Amino acid sequence: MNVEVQLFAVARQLAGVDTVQLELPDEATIADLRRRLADRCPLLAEIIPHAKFAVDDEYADDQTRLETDSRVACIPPVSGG
Amino acid sequence: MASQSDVVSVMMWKTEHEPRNLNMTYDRNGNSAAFVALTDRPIDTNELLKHAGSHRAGAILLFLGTTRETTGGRHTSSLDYECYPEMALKKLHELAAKARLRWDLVECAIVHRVGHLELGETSVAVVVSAPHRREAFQAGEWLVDELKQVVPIWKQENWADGTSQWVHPGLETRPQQSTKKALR
Repeated sequence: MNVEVQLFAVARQLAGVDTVQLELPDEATIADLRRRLADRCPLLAEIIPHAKFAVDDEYADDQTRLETDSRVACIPPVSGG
Repeated sequence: MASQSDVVSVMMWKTEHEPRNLNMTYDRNGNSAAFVALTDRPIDTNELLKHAGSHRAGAILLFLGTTRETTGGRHTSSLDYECYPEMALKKLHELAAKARLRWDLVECAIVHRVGHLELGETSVAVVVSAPHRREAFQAGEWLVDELKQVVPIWKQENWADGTSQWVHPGLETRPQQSTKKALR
């Protein structure tokens, strides 16, 4: 399945793009997505372990399974306020 | 959604309009009214205070987060805030709803600025009104603490030396020359 990952802040800056399309096996999890994203964008490799991921606007853990139309975002540590 | 380089236009609504979509909970009086917004314009604190006013309130607390010049001995010339708008609004709503469950509040409003801010500008405003001051102080402090932990908003320091740097607590980032050049 094809999943689009939105990038923000330093992740967007390092990758140089707002979104990345990843091809993942069916029933892939966030843990799989982390690995695939680091392979695809080596510049993100060092921040991915520090980032959270959101699926459909909710924080997800590494076991969360993805679906084709999942809205996925890479959330580096937040700094609002 | 809009590209992150676009400044988010004013997005605001009251929770009672969409409580179900947002998994909202209700406060002890069955109300869910909270006002949350992301805006690329200066925050109108008078408007927020007016919103918080009520004959039920004995206290209105206004917290403003403002952009500071010095951080760790370095000088900032301006800041840029970026957010994930859909999720940021959802999380702000959830925080307001949780605060209303936990404390007896009359009104609750949270507005966060996005885009470019000069020094001294207000980046976030939290307004809480309650029958008594203790609840207002506690809820206001809790809301600001939680917001800084969970709401997907990020700030970029534009240092006085011409470099810029995203701020990610716990993550070392490198200053970049302030051009928006793609790296690949």
